[in-house]
Amino acid sequence: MTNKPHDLDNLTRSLLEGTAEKPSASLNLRIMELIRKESCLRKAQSQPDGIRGLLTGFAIYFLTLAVIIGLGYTHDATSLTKIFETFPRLRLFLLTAGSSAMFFFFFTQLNNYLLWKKKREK
Amino acid sequence: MDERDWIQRIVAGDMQSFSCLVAKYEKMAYTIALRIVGNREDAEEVVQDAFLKMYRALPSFAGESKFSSWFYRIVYRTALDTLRGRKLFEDYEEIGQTDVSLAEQETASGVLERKDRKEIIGEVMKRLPASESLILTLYYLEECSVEEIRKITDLSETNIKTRLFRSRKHFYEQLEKYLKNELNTLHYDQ
Repeated sequence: MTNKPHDLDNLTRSLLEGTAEKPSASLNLRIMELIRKESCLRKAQSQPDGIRGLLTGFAIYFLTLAVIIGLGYTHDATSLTKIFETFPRLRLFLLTAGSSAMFFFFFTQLNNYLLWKKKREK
Repeated sequence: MDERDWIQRIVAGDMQSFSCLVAKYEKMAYTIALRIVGNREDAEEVVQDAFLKMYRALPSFAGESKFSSWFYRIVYRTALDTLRGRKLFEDYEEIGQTDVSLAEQETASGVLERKDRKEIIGEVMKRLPASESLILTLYYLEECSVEEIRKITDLSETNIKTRLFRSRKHFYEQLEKYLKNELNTLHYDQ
């Protein structure tokens, strides 16, 4: 028997070989379950709810604008003021529809945010 | 398929590849955690947390270091968090120390032939301070280089070498003590 560091390293390596501790059989399943949940959460977070909501808002806005301009053209109106003069109730209608849409949009976004926060806490 | 492919697939959302990583690293991660925290329940908690942290951080893994070193560092840091401020590596004094004696080596060689070698080594590892059993595990069992251990633990290279030398000495001392005790118990029983 020699006392060379290299031999000692080899002896120690041989002694320790295969002595890794074995965890409980369920650990693997628990880890995978945890990762699956995390993966679902990640997918939910990556959905661009905010952008989609914003695009919908813009689409509604431009659609309404297109309808108004279209109506104006059919009635030979050349400016927005003339359009409102042509359709007196239009201003009230637009105000109601616009504010309803904005409230709806705001509360949907708030709801989405609170749900996301709750999921994250879990 | 190598680890890089697994990692790319996991980042793309493939759970099967992640289960391959779990199967490959679960045991060593658990051994490292157990050496640090000292009990099985906490060690399993540490391993779960470490895998979750690894999953979250995987998209940012640049591949500059070995995946195993990167992951063991996560396990190491997570295990340290559970120690709640207790220091794993205490400061040590630079004192000269003799290497493992021939008698200790001969006793240890006898253990190689024994069927219960794993249990004996497991018991001896428990008797060592956490820092020493950890460093022996990383170097001799997982065969990490000194550089890899440096990346995992943030200790300096000289510090690691000194600690390795000491840990090995203590390991052989404890092994001899353990076997002597065992022998005494046998005599006493007879």
